[in-house]
Amino acid sequence: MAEVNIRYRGTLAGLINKEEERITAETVREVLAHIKTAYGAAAGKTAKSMLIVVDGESIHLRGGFATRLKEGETLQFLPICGGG
Amino acid sequence: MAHQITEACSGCTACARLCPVFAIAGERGQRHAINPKRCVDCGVCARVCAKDAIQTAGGRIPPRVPRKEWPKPSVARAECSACQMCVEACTPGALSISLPKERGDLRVFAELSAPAKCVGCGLCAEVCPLRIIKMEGGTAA
Amino acid sequence: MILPVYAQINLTTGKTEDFPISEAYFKRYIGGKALAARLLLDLTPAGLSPFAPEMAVIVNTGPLNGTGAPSTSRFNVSSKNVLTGGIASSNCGGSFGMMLRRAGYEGLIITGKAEAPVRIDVSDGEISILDASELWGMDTEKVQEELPRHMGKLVIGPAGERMVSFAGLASGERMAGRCGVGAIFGSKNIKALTAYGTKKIPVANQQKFDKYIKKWVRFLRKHTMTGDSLPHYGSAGLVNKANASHALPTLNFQQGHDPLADTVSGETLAETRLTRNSGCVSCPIRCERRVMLDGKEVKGPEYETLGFFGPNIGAHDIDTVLRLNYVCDILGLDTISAASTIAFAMELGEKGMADFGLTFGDVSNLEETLRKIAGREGIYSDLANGSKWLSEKYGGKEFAMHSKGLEMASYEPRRSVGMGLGYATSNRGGCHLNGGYMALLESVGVLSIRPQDTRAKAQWTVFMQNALEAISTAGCCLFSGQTFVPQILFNLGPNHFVTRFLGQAAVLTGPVVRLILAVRPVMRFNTLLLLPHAEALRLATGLPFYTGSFLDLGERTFNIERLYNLREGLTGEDDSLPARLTKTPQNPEKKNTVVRLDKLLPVYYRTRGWDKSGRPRERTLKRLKMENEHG
Repeated sequence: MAEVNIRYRGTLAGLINKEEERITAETVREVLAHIKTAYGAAAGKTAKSMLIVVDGESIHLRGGFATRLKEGETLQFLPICGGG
Repeated sequence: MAHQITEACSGCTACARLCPVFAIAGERGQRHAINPKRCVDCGVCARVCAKDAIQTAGGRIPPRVPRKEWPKPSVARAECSACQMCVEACTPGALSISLPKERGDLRVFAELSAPAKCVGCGLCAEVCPLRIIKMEGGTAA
Repeated sequence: MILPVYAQINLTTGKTEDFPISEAYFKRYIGGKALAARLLLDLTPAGLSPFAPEMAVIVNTGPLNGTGAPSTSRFNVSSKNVLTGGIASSNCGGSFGMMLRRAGYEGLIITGKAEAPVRIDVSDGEISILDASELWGMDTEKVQEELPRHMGKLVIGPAGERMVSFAGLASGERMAGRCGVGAIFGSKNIKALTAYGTKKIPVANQQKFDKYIKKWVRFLRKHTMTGDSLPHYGSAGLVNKANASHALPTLNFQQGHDPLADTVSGETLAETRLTRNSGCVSCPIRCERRVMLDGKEVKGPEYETLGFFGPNIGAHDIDTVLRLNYVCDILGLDTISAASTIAFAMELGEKGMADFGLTFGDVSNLEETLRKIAGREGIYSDLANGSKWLSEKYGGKEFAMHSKGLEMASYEPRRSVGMGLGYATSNRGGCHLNGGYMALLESVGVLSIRPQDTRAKAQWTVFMQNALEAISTAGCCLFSGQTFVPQILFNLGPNHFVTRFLGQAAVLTGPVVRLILAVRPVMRFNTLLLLPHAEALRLATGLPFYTGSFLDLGERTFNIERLYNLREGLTGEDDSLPARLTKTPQNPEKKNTVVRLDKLLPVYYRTRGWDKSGRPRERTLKRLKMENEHG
């Protein structure tokens, strides 16, 4: 198990009334499970639909929801954006 | 079509100062003139003229109206997209976009933030793409 | 049908005359960048220097400008590109365009050179050339303060006066930044254009138009992209997204990921610096950032500026970016080209090839550097010529990050290969928007169409380029086209298997897109979901614009600018990228992190109906009804 920093951005921060926390989790999936249990199903659903990055890198370039987390890494939930 | 200034003009400059499209020119004490290409027939000049010297395109001489009886815009806030077309059209600077209540608040809208500057010309209502500005009160012509 | 009327102004003789647009040209090119390119071909001989007095600079509008349709303050400035020698078309959201229309003209064609600084004023259909000696030397903010508040304005700053190759124009706080159009104004001694009038902008079917606008605005405000993300984060929101996909240029495009990128991200900007959002006049999206600088509220930076004055120069100080953004604006410099040229100079310094006193990570002397570039002081005059020129003098062509001479935007195309193709083929040079903006579909948006896969990318690039060109030509902001990505995908999010599946499957859609492109004329329908612009254009002009014919307009726009480039001596050889992007994998362990232009270009040319050398075939021009025109 690794202790990781979680940062909630965008609507999620408002939804759970928290901007960051430290939790122990082994994978991204476990972090999502934690959000669902601690803050309810709506928060869980929102978290799942956001862009999830570990140390700034998309989980899609790692292992998706199964991405393993290392001690001290920062996992962020980011809003989807556009522009140019 | 455009408003015109008759011989009754005393050259007090009141209309020239209030014209929202800067269509009126003239020396103080001399008869003023309205640029017909520029005039939008908003009637502001007639409402402020103490000499009944303004003639409408139809040849009518509208009476002077006390400022507190001039029409004022009313914005349907819930529908407003804050696109600023009205703010840009409002040369006297009476309209502005409201400030957000807190950081990240997107529900802002056009509002009459400086009512004292409003001349009741109705240009805001005319340019509003959503047609949600109504001129209310007074003698909206 | 109400045809547009332009004015032709010759600054050498001081003569002005009306220039009515023919029905044939109006139907074919409508206005904006398309018509401007057509007129440049007609009115200027080949091979002119951008600074030749005979060169024309065209400031014009599209039929939707100022009509009240959403995001339609955008007007166009076209001329010869100072950086590339090809077409220059620069787009701006300031109020000048709609004011010009209210003043009685749809466009201005300016040629010649004034003897002393001038301001050209357009009021109620009358044009006067006024002395502007007292305005010369002023920055873009000061000069606009000096001019009457109610007028639409378009001005240059010190950079334009000294013909810096990437000098832009300012209208209010909005910039027509790219392609050096500010330098062309400077070369003609034009300090400012002003316009005012009260003419009503005509719309063919006002009642239906009004109704449609109401629907369209409601749609824009409901869509996640235009109603939530852009107003909350602006384009700045892309910093973290690009970084997450390794598509954020870092240290002059050496890498695509910076662990500290969040220091200059749109989220950080919104959480810590933003006072509020705002927008161009007429726009319900309101993506503009407002921030405080020295006790004054000013325009905040766009994504490009954050990326380029951040990770791409190894810096992580958001306050410096806010300041440099403002400094560029008041000097009248394009932030993209300025910052990218600085990054190139930093790498030249690092490699010992040139010394401008610039080092990756050091932002302490950048404000001063920008001022020296704008003033063309000493050796900084070299920087004022842009990356391509620098690389020809000092070497380093393989890492001078431009295409055709125009510096690329802040998307690392090795992680978005369609964007790489877009940069290479864009008519004005390394531009993401002119290039089709595939990055949005490959690496920074909700969808990821396999960013390393070359399949279907050429077809999608053609489709996107045509769509974006048509939107610009009509007089709309490209951001209003972001609703093209269906709302449902935002509800599902990027991690949902449906979104993932679509991203994977899209690489197989090449033939389908090709088919859509081929049968366009029968796409006689309009829908809010795809391109609301077509319907708005139909109601505004009374011309039969449907999705198909609207895309044709885009294709015609792309081809006419291409014809201008070809006439001015650019060829297929110029559809290129620096070797760093095509030869060196971004990640040495992943051989596919390069842009395989060799694979992409032939398919692209075929899809466009161009021959192998990148020249539009006769039958393509015939299909687009462009065949009987010289040029």
